[in-house]
Amino acid sequence: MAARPKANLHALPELKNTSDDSIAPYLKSKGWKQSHTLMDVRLILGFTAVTIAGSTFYYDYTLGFDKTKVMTLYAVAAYFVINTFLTWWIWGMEGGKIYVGSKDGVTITISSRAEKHSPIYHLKIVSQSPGQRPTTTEVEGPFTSWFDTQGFLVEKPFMTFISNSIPSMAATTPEGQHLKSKAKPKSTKKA
Amino acid sequence: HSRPKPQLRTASMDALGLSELRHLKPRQLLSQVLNFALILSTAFMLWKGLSVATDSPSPIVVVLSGSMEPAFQRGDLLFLWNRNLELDNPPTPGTQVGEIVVYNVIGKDIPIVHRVVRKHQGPSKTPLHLLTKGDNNHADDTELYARGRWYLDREKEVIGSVVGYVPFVGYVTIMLSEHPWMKTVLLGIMGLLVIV
Repeated sequence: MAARPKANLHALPELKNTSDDSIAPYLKSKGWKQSHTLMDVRLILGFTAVTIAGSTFYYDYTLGFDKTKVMTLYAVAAYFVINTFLTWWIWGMEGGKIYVGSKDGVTITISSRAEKHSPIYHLKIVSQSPGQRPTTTEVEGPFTSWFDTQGFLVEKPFMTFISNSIPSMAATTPEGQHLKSKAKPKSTKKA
Repeated sequence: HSRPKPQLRTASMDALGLSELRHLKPRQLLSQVLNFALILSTAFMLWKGLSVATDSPSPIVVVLSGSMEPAFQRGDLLFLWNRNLELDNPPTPGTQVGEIVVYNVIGKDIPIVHRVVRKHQGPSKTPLHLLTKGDNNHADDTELYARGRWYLDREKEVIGSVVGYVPFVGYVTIMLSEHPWMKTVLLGIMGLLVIV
């Protein structure tokens, strides 16, 4: 990336978001193909709702209130139904997931979390290899490991942290072999 | 799937000073736009929902004149209900004498808030005709009505009766419409808040 990612060291949400955003480009460079389904559904739902609102506005503006009363009623009902579904989608389906991708048949889903007032980055990686049951790995690392004193994200330690967290990468990548002890997996359990 | 020729795209974008856009992924940009659009459209749809529920084109109005003092002052916010058109057939009485209604004079967009002082109804249920007068006015509203008309048509001209109010809150809109420069200042402040 030409622009170096930078975050305010005193703002935990920024640290978390910057870390989240840096995972996808790194994995892409390692040959992982990102799946955008979650985001696409969210965008489609959202823009459908916005289009309904927009056309309601247009017809009401041009035709007046009386003629468009019934249409507006249906539009409002449809809008709030879609919006409720969208809210559920973002909360339930997306909830915390920041990356879904696959490579060589292995599918991983990464969710991230940072507790309030705690500078520790928690990652939960669900890895599904073909023919096997999915495994869940939970890792954590302090933000201080990969942000320098000015707030710039330093790529090497971050990439090491990520590659050590993903089971299929930890075994094969050079960073994984070199610094195997950096990541502290809390638990690896077969789902 | 096809990929755009990198050199052409970046060269033209650099010329326009838009090279930073190269790093913005389309989905992320769309996501930001969506968030902004959802805020606007939810606010609008809530307004429309209230409008449909009360059956009034403008369910919340601001008192613009002092013609209803001391009951309502300039700047009060009024809540309207427009579903009481049961035109005085028992058991559900419609708009009564003494109720306060809001109407638009045909040709002008200003809502007028006055009290019903008389009503006329023919043998059939419609149309219900109302005569209104502001509490603080000497004369009734006959002069305000459309040419040649001595009454208001409840269905066509009245946009609702007042069922509740909040004092003073609407004064902001009066200030904004009477001093247009305030709109520019307000927009400027909002714009600054978004950028900074």
